[in-house]
Amino acid sequence: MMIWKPGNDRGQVSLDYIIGITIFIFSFLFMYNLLTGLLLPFQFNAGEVVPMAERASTVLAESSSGLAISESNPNVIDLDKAKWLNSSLNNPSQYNDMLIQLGLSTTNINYNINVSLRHINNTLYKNLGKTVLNAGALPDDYANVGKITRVVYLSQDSQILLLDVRVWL
Amino acid sequence: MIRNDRAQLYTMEAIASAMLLIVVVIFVLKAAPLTPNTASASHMHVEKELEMRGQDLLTVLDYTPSDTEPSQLKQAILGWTGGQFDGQAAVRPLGGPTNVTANRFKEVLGAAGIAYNVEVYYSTLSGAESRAILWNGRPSDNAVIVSRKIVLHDEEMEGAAQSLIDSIPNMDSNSTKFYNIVVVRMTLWRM
Repeated sequence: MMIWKPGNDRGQVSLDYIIGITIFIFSFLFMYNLLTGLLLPFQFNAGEVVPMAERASTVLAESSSGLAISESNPNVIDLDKAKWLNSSLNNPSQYNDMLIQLGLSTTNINYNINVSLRHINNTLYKNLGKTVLNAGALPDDYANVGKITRVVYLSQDSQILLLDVRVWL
Repeated sequence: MIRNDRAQLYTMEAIASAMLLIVVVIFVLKAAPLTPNTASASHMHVEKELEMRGQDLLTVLDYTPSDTEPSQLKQAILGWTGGQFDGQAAVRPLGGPTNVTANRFKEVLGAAGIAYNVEVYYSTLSGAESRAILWNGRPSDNAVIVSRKIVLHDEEMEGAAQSLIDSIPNMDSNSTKFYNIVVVRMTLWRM
């Protein structure tokens, strides 16, 4: 509470302070909203790995050159194709060829990929006691990883499974 | 400055506070995309993820393995008696394929923290109508909708419950095997 004293000639009252700090806070919030939206698209690789993972997952889940049993049955995958993908991604001499096939490798830029086939509860899917598909490189702790999860149906086992595709630079 | 006994070093403190402010701003910028309520690119990613999961699930459920047996999604419609089920775990002792499909929804969506409504849209002689199969309440503002069309034929409806035949009519009497088209519409949102 500001009490007027005869000797006080300061041109500031508490109200001025409140108004000033309110404007300051509002401008700060405005800048916060503005800058977060403004800078994100320019961050290196901020949004790039996710579309790349999406592309790879689409090829794997929906194309018969990926894991799908046929072009007319997207998201229905074949066990033998999953086993084949597992062995080729885990084979260092074939890994780079697989990256090129999935559109993740060009002359300038090389992404990494990790693919796994999981149950709905996120445990790895096993067939006859053997993990069917858990292949590719492993991201290091600080990598910006783009992850896409597709819901697929394994025709041989009549099971709904999750196909996890991770892509990073 | 000997008379000045204020314990403040203007330049040093100005630099220190400026540094502090910059660090705070950087921290805020880094942290911002993680908050679920900001309309940022990552929020769009969450919506995209929901859409993908829902569309994938409908695609997978509508897979027809053989000519003799309709897809699981179609079986669920054919075995449905026309009633609405409320709640995430709404698998009532109905038995049959509607229950099996409801369980799939619960496993793939409910277990991942996604709420969902499943409705069917179909034509009647007086215009389009809709009815909910599974209802979990009003969706949030950031809900996404996915849908899939199912064509019903005369012979598939032979075993259906009378209450279903009453609500989804035959659109061309008996001149062709066509019965009706049902749009399965699923609304998904994060809980």
